[in-house]
Amino acid sequence: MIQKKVCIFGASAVGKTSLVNRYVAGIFNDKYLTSIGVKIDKKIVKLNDNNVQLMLWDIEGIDRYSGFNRKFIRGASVAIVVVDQSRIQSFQDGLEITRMLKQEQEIPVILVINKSDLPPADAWHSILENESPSLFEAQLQTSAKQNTGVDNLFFDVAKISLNHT
Amino acid sequence: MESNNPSPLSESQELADFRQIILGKNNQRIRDVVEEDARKIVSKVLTEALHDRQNTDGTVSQVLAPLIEKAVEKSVLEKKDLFIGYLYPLVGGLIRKAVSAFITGFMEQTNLLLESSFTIKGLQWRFRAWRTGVPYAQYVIRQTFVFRVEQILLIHNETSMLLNTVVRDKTQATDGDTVSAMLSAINDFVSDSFYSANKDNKQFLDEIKTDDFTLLIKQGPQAMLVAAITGNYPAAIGESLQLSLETIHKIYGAELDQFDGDALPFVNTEQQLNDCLLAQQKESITLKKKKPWMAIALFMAFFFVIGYFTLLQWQLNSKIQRINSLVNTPGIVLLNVDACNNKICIELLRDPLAQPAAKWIEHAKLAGTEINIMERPYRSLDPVLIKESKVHKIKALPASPGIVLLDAELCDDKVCITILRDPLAEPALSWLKGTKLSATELVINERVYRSLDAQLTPLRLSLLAVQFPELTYINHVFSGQLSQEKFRQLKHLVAALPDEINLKSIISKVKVFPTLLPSKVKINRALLTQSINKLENTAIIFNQNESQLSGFSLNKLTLVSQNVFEILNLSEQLNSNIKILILGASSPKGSKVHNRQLSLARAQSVKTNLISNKVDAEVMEALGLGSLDKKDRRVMFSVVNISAAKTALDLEHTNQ
Repeated sequence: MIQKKVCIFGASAVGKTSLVNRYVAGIFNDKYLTSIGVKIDKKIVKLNDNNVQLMLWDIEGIDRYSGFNRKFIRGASVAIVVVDQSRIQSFQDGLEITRMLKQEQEIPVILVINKSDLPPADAWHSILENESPSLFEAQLQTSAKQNTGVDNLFFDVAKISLNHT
Repeated sequence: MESNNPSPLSESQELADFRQIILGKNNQRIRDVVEEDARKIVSKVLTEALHDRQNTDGTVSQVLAPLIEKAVEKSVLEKKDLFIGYLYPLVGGLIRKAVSAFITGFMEQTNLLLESSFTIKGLQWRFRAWRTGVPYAQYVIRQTFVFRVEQILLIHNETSMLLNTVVRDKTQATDGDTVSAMLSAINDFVSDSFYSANKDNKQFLDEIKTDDFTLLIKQGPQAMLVAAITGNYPAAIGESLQLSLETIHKIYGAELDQFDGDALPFVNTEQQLNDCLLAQQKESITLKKKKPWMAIALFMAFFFVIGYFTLLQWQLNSKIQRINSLVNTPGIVLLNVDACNNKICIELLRDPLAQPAAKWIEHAKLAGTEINIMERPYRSLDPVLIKESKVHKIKALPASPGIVLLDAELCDDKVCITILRDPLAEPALSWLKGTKLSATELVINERVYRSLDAQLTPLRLSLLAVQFPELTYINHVFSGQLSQEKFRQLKHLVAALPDEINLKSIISKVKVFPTLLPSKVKINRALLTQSINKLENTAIIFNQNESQLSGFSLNKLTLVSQNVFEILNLSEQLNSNIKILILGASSPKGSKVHNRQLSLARAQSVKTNLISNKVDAEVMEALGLGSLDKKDRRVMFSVVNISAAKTALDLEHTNQ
């Protein structure tokens, strides 16, 4: 079975760990716990032709003053950058992280707009339209709390990872 | 001046040209020759070359093993029947060997388990394992082995993904994928945290230790090998890991370089990884190769218990079978036999006339077995029981006075009856009327006897009345007169009647005729006369001038006493009043007075003696006669009838 390494990045408290927990264990917890370092989980995604085992590297939240351990991205097939649509700053941080990633390694990056159950921040859509774009391989909306778009996200991740060699 | 010597450059050029002419361009001619004979040349050295290479680094077997495995697999799949033919004769032996090996191993493991469970050492180990919070199995391994490599992980450096893993104990396997990724992450963390100024000098984790495990990490250019080890491992382990890692790099270099997440090409690394699953057992354990006595004892006890219960069950089943095979008896229908709580439970229907169920089951010879019989009554139509019911009817007849049923049994379709019957009792057939059996169905064997039944007494008394016509018989009482003889006869017959009869009341009114007695008086008189004569002819002799009784005289006086008693008794019967005179006498010698005194003393002496012999003193009178000529020195007796004397006196008086 083919395995693919997937790294999940994003600012603090955007819901990276919640997305992984929702997808891998099917649970969601409102209580916020900061992730330290990296937490690794795995999950098999069934595609039409074959199965892919995703090794999900949930990397601790990155704010504007701190970088990330660049070695974590090494060997990854796909990177996910998670942002919180109720906080404009999380999007700005996401863009910064994406640029750093691109510098480090040419890798498809998927933008995940999480917390779709919450109302978007003011001017969210205009900022998103202006600033995002070509940087990302794909863009998806999810809510780990309501379990919307999570399975689709990782299904797409599996497909993109197979295409990326 | 120009030199003729060719320059060195042109010489070497010429040499090269010459070489090209001889050997051809790019040594083509030599290569052609070699290629032409390549097969021959290689075949000559192939075996030796393989041998040498195998001896050098052992890579030949590593490369060939997966190829041979695949070739064998393909061959087996395509020519299955052929292989079955080859293997068939071997399989039996293999299975036996495998089973034997399994049992031996199982026994040893069980023994080890028992030893570690029930011995002091085992209990100590358990306690220590509990105290340190380590699972007991792991603690045992730690105590048993110096070290043991539990798992080997081959991890791709770039992607941190697991390429292959081998585990010694499949139940203890960890999630190799996650462990690999986390190890890489930790490695990266350490590498970044302890950053070296020299970029080429990368920092890598070499060893991670926990309470139970040591993770020994060997880093290669494209992959790393991680060994999870329990115990204290020797340095040689590291070398072994390093060698295996190098071999893997050498063989799978290209695959490692092009790895894109598919670990399939690395399946065959299992052989190299297995080589790293090393272990060393503690000497004390390996040296002690002893008989597994505890396991043997446990198994023997186990088999004994199983055998015992099997035997019990077998015995019970055989008893049930014996009951089932019992010959049917009339009036008993066996419904069910089963074992229940170590007993045999029997359910049956039974006619009340049939033999008791317990007696019937005795035929099955079930000594010592507890039997629970659930019996339900029913009426059987079995011919034997129908006949039996006739016998039963006779036996159930109420008793009749004077008839005793001794036996009733079936004999040739009839009922043979043996009875005792008093002649006064009712006829046997009359008694049997209650059974509603006809005389043709019965054979009666009757024996006469005399019954003591009180109910027959009135009848008997009536018959007695006939026997004694001189008496009147009313209300069980006889009255009238009978001679002495007949009365005795009646008394005798009545006495033979049962005790319940009041004899006295029956014959109380019967009087006896007075009878003339034989002249007993005469006889008594004759006897009295005879006794008196005997007494009067008796004399007690004394010595001269003595009144003391001699020994002889004393004996004689005892007889005299009895004689006196007879006389007194007879005289009493004859209503006579008599007196016995004791007369003393002396010889003529001496004076008259002296003789009279001496004779009286002698008479007194005799009287005294008779009194001592319990003769009434009143009836005796002692007299001294004095001297007598012929009958001297003696005492004599004389009996006087006083009543007769008195009558004579009275007559004399009247006459006067």
